[in-house]
Amino acid sequence: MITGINDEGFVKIDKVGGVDARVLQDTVLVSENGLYGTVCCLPPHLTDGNEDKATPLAKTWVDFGLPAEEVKRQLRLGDTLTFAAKPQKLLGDKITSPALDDRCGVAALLRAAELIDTEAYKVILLFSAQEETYGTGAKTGAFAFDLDEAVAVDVSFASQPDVSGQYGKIELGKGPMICFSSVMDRRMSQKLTEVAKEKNIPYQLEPIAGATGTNGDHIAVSKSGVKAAVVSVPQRYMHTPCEVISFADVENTARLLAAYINCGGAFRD
Amino acid sequence: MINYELVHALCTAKGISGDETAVRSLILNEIKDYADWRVDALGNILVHKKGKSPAKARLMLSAHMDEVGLMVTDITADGFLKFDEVGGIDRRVLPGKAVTVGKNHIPGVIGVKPIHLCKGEEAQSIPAYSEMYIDIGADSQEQATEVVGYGDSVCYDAPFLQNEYSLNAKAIDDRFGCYVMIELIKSDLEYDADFAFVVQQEVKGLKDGKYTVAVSTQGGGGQSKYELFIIGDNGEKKTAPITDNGWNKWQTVEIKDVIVKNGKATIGVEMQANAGNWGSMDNFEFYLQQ
Amino acid sequence: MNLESVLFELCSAHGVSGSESAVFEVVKKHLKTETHVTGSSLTASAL
Repeated sequence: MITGINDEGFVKIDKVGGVDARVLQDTVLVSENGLYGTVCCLPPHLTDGNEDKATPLAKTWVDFGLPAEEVKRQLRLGDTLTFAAKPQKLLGDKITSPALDDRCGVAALLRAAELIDTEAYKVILLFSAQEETYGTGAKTGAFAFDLDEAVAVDVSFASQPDVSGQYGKIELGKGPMICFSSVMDRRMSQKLTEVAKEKNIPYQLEPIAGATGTNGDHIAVSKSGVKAAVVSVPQRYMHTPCEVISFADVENTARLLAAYINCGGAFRD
Repeated sequence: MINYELVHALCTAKGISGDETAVRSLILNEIKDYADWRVDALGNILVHKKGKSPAKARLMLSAHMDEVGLMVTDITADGFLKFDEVGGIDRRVLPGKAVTVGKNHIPGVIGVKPIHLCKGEEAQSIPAYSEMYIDIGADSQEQATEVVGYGDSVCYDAPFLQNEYSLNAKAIDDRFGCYVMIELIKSDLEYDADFAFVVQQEVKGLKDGKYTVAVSTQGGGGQSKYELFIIGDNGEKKTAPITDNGWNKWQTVEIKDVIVKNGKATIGVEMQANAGNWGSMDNFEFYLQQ
Repeated sequence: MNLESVLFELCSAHGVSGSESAVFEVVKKHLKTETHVTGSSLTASAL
């Protein structure tokens, strides 16, 4: 978000949600009204010797290449900026783009809507606002309905050269991640796994001891409580302009959601 | 009137130091009918433009065709590309950037550990070159080596943006300089002039100390200016003249005792030549004196 | 629905937290059912 414009027309920014300061230098951003600006960075010839540390946001400026009056005319304090990088295909079925977190979840919902074919559930699709800040969209969205169950569809961590441990075993292309968490309904997670096996949908397991950090956490405590589960598309480089997913995982996430709904879910029997 | 289409073509052309072919072709295509030119052994384009009259003093204009970039130094078993810098780059600009790899311009991204999984200082630290990698979406080394290779040049994949007031693109350093020279070569000049589209190398990461730079040459001679040069970190330039005297008569020219203090130096060769001059340069050496 | 091109369209839309309207427009385009604004979010019936 734009928090200031100085007399030379350089723009001050602050983060909305978990912005990674390490990926900002020399990065092109774009405003809602289509203005492109580059985050200022020192030429190496004039280096301050601080290559090892990301420039803190408080010292970060954006250059729109316009005179100050033009900047002030076309942009206002409070306007928001996003990464300008456009979606691109990599090898195989890999896709890289900013905002795959959580637009691929949105896409999975749109696809699932095409595949849902049952009266067993009344299914409401919630395209929530403000998840990255306080999850407020999911809180009010869930409250508006009398829900029996909910599945939050987000992205989670896949293996990459600098990710090890539990997430080192999650791979792009090996299917949606079914979350097992202390705040999610275990029976739903279990049923999702069974449905995946039954329908030959590839899947991976994501055990999370605490809260999931997704809309699921908020929806689960809506009103007097909702049985909830979380399904995630595996992703690399979260919260950068170069997030990477396997497209097959989006399609399979949609298939898994639809299969769970079409079979009546975890509580039929 | 600036020919933005040509500026766009120059800036978007891919040519990091040592791999300038695409840029050279583009420039030659523009100037070939307007002046005498030749390409030397290192890839420099040397142009002599006749003006309305000969000049009293010899002036050379030079612009460099190469841009900074990266080079693929390894391909991991999982298909990720390790790399190092070619020219001076501040590492802070690399994480999260889109790039193109090799002569087929394979798209890739410079990945970084998700901030959520970073502990303590990690979330503000820029990884060293040895820790960084490019993801082209390969699932294995085998799949990666089908489309890219060791030593491949890597360029920024940056958009070319312009508004009424400014240009925002990669390689404005020094393709805009090349553009200015192309425009001069295509126009009518008052005096004869020489232009050199040069290749030169900025070397970084050097240990402090006294260095020697040397080059071996042979050729027909006759250049009006031919010298080895080195620019130390304080901007001081030292030169040594090169005089060729015949086919295969190799000789080595060196500059010794150059003080390098802040890890950087620029080495190169500068030449003003006429159509018909010929020769070659080989065995560039640059080393810390023991 | 060509899922890949819908995904590309979604990713190209401006949608910083609190300014999601452009993304909602893309969603509305590709849903057969009617959408409603619920608080700050968008909801729709699947069927």
